Amino acid sequence: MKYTNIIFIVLATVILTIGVKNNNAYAQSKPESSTVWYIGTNPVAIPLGFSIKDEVKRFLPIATGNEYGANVVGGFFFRPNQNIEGRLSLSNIHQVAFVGQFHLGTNYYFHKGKINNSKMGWYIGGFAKYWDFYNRQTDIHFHNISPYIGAGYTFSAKRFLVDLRINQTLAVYSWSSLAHTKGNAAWMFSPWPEFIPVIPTISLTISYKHKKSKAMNKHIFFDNLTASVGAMVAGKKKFFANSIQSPTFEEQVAAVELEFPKIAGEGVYEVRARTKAGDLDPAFCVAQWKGPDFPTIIYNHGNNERPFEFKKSAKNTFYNIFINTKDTIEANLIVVRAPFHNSSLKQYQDTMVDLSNFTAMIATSVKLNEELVKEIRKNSAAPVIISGISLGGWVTNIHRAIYNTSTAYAPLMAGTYLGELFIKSKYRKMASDIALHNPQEIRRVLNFDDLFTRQDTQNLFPLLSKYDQFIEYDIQKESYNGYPLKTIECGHVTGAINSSELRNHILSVLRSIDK
Amino acid sequence: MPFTKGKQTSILLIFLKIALLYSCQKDDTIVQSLFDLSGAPLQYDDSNASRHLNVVAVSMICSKGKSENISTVRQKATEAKEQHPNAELILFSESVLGWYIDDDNPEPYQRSIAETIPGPATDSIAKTAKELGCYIGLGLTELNTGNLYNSFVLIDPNGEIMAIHRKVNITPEDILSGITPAAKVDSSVTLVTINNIKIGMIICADVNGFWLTKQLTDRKAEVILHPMASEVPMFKIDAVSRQFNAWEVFANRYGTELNRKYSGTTFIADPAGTIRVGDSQMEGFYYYRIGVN
Repeated sequence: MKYTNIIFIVLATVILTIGVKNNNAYAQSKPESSTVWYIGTNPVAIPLGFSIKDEVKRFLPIATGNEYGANVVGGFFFRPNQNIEGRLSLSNIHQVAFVGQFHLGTNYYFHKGKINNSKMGWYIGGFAKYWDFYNRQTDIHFHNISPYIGAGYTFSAKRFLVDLRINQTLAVYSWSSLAHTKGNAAWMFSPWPEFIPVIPTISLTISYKHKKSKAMNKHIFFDNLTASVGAMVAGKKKFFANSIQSPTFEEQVAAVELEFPKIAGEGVYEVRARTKAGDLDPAFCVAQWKGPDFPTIIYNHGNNERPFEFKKSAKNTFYNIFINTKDTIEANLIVVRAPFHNSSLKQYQDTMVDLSNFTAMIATSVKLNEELVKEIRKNSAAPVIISGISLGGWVTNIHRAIYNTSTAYAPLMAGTYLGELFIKSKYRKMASDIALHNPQEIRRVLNFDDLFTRQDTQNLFPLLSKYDQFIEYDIQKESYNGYPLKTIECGHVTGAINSSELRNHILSVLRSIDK
Repeated sequence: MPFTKGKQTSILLIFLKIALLYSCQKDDTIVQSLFDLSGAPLQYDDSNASRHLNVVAVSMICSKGKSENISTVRQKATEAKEQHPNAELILFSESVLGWYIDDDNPEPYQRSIAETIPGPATDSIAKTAKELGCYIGLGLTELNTGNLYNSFVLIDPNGEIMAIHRKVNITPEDILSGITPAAKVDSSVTLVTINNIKIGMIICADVNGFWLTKQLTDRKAEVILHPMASEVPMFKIDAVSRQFNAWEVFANRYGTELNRKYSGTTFIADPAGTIRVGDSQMEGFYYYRIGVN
């Protein structure tokens, strides 16, 4: 094998795998996109399939990416900023030869693609092109495969993509149906290097874009149903309908003062909290105390739960995860009740019309978690895990962001972009108009990703639901770059009732830190 | 109303079908594309070929005076044979008896260098062919019943005119020079047999004519003799070989003629389009033993 063949194979492999490697790296750090596919054509190439002026025909291919005549382009954005694209072009290039060509490759866009996957812009790409130069007079095929690179800009206008690209071939491997011939490879920066050493080509593509809606599965269905019913029940008392003025979480937590009771074994302990939103009523329950030599799990419940009602009919994830199980949990178990969760739903809704009450509720739970950690540490060197689901997950993450005093954190179905829950997710149906009309203020108060990233201790073991319509996977996953994220095939509602998955995750965290 | 996925597919398929049906050229001109030149040089194996022809392609500078060019052709042929004693055929470029075109005075100039065939020029060169015992092919402006033709004459080792091909697909320069194109009739297809090899004769832009291409490919020409007057640089892939599925002997002139600079690109390429021998930007002889499988 000639050295050029080896170089070619290496080069082709590198280019064709750039996308794959890129994907792998991207998958660890970026959210998945919803699916967008497009189909279009290179309109400039079409006239080349017809009888046109010789001079135009001679030079126009440089402006068509060397595509001739009938052509179709199809692509699929499998990530917000990366697509896979195929290009098919079939045409008689002149009376003697027919050329069929197929390109396949990937383009990597430079935009962040964090939330809005409709953004386009600059990109670079790597492609492989196969073409068959078929001499119709002699019935001989000349087959070629060539790697090439490209760079371009895509304009997105409603349902259409307009893409302008510059392409440069690098090498070629050719073979033929002609008898007595062997295939060969060569560098190819220009088909006519003695004339022009490097000939890049330009191509224009106009495509119709179709955004494929996520498949409606039972997980999505239940989330959507819950949001719709919840919005109907809330009526005018939607989240923050009265006010969106609020201190940040950091300010709220700093202001909380607790009258912390003396713990004397298992039982419920009411706590008095003075906050910027007035006096509040958090509590905690020591549900299982095995002793100071055992690790302790501090659990924070979800929105509108009844964490101290230990019965099957209760809306209580703590009970379902830790109590209603045959497994013996070798840990002390404490569940924290957030303020406003000792009264009726109506009363709860009445308080949530003010954003400051909402942030104070979370901040109070955070402060109570911290007091519990301190209290446990007084008599125990065993690990402490703070966990929580949904509302409790936010509490968990904010505790870590501000204190980070627990041994480990296991937030379930939460992240750091709490504002997105109310202004972007399906849960926005539960948000008031004033909140929806002031997304930047909601984000300023509720998103705490900047605060969260100040901590880099490897003590974070998050769990997200893939189909969660409230705590959206694509968005909240961003919070956990660099940490081992557990993903379950559930929605928000179906995830919250999947007690075994949640239990297994928390216990696996317990095992990992207990070693 | 938005298109459904099914409608989109149908529209695209219809469009594709229409485009394919009409993707052809109605006229006779072949405009070569970048695809004709693209690809890696293939390895064509003629080591077991049963028939051979030893060929020299000559790149030479042509002066404006006819007699000087006749002498140069004879001298170059002799030198080529001396350098390559096995040479059986020596090919010179197009219109080798003078400039390809005198832009200041095109038609009168062509008439001044035109020759009948046979005529003094071919008689003179025929003597050389006989002395050397090989075929000599050259392009010249032919005068016939008052008309000028851009012709390619092949003289055999006995000094006899073996074949005359008249250019079918003439260029704008030919038109300015008063050249008459040969008619697209059977007699304009020039195919000779040497060493049991079918050899097609074309001149320069004849290669861009579909009719002549079809005639020669249908008749399975195995070697194309192709005298040229061209400014083209050297190629990586020879499109003409692939077009005809034949060896190509490409002999071009070199040098400056008024404002025109001829590249001297001259080569011999196998049917896969791989150039076996040749060079550009200089005068020279290029010898190759063509093997026909």
